[in-house]
Amino acid sequence: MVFKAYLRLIPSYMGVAVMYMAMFAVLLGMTMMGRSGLNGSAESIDGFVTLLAVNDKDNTEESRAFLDYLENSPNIKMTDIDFEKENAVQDSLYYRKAEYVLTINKGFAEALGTGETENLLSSQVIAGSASEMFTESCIDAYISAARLYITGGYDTAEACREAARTLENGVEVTSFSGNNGWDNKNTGAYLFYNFIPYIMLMMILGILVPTFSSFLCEDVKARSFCAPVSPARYMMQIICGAFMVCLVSCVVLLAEGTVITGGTLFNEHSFYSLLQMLVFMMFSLALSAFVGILGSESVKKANYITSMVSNVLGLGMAFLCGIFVSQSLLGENILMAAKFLPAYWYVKANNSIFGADGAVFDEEIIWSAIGIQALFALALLTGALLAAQIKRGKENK
Amino acid sequence: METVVKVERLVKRYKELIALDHLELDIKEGEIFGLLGPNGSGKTTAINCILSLLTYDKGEISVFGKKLCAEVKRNIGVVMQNVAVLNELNVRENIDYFCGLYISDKALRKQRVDEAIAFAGLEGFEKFRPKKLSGGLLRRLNIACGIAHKPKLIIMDEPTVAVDPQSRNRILEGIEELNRQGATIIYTSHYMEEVEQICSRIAIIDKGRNIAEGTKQELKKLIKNTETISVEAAGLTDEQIDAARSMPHVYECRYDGKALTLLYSGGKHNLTRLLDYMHNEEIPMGRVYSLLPTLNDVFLEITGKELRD
Repeated sequence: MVFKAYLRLIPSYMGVAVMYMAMFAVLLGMTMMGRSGLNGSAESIDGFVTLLAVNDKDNTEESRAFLDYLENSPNIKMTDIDFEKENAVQDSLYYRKAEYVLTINKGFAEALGTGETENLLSSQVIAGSASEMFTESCIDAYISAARLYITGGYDTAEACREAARTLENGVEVTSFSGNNGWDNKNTGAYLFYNFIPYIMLMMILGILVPTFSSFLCEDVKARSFCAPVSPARYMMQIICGAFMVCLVSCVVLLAEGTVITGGTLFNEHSFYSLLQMLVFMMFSLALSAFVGILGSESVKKANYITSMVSNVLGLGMAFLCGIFVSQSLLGENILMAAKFLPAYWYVKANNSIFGADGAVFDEEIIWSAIGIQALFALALLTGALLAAQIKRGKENK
Repeated sequence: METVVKVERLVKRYKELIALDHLELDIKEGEIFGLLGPNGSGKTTAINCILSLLTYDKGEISVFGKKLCAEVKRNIGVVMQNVAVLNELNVRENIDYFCGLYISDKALRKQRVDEAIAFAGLEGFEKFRPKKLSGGLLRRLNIACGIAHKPKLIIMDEPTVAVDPQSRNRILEGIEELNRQGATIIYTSHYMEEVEQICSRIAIIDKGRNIAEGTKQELKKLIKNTETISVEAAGLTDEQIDAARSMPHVYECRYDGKALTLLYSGGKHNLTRLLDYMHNEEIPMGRVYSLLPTLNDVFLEITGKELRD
């Protein structure tokens, strides 16, 4: 009867479940979209072009060499403007015929030779645009290189040519997409299992803690113990009910994940993923029982503790253990502290299962990480039962 | 009559505090047995010990002649002092849950739940959650949860605390009805009027000890006072006050300048005699009260303090 009544309580907290499922869908969906966007970002960098218009008022060998450098820059496309025409520059910028208008001032070559920095160039640009930043960085690189050659004893014209030659090699950019060679088709599955500890912990805490508190509040518990139900059987039925709720939550999350990831959730290593999902579920259940027992004195207290634990532990684990930020990007000290949290081991195993974040598939790492999570769950469940025992003892004293 | 609950030399300590000090109770079948005492006197502790919700240091407790076990518990209904219901379930579901702890047969349980709803006057509120109920309805739900399985023994721990007079009367009538249907009832309260109204036998408890036990008449016989008469009369002379004091059966006379109060121990026609005297002396009178002793007087005389101190 306790088991049945426990399940009857659950619909009251379905709102919490729906909220976290929606949050999960958004989080997973957006991150997947972000990942696919990141894969295309290398192409975007390669294809980035600034429309540059240049008014060469110096018209010397040096200024022409500088102009050649700009023309040969792969991310700059030269455009012509009739500088004689009134408002030509403003119109060009407004109609995006040019994104950056550069004027090589008269005396450019002379000033460059003497090391003068003022009045070499002047520009008109859409402030704060990517074109501004990109073009100025090209110009700065050229001027710095030319100065370097001049200081090294080259004459100005020769320094300008050498600077252009040095910079024309460009910089080879390697884009780190974060997958380190892991198969892209697993992105959805990896992200799904990566976010599971956070969502599952928040969702299970949100549903189970208030139900535990309702059943374990002194009045209801005492009233129930007046009936022919032993405390052990009572507790067992509540935990069975909670276990059932957790299992259903997992199934629902898996179904949701399958839809969002387009059916790519299961692969040859799914056994490990599902096993550790189950183990982490047990940890969440044990934590809920612990918090529920602590907060069983009043609904207000239960809500307060739930909110505190959800925020501190849920978000803390998400940020410290590699759920929201890859473990490879976290500092050593953070990772050292994170080892005392089960989510760290979950993420470690998940990285190994998917060969993500620089990890390789290693059964030993996976099994030990899952084992550590199981120990966390066991310790917490023991703690919860001990807390219940102590509380019962206190009520007697 | 058969003994339903027997408590012998029960001792319960909370560290230094002795909550129950060799408490003795003998509750017979068919009684409404009242446990009367001020707050903190040990009533709830005694109930919790009887129900095995608390361990105790010394003594013996038997219910239906046995130590409390699952079989015995089946015949006990409990209405706790605090409303013990699940806020997430509605009225019917709550009664069904608590009834289900005793009765597994679904059809029988449905019948009992319907009867409990009708008994507690909760028709029309079946789908309401506890938070939507008024204080009186909530107490009635608490009672319905405790009695739905039709127990032979019902223990009610202050079931009318914080209840309006109308709901209180309804609850008291319900308790008498349960008793008429055959249930033995243990009723704890610090409201002496309630205990006087419904209990066939009463134990007065103070500091964990049973200081007096019996029917209300028996308890009242334990004290000297049988009647208290108070007359509003201003400006009495010393001679008139002395005359009143010397009337038959008067053992105490008080006069505060506005009202004369006489305490009697036995005797008949005390009021007539006093009024005749006042009339003959042509003493102008205001309101006249004749009060019979209450359980509070019993408590006051035995312990030297008021029940609601």
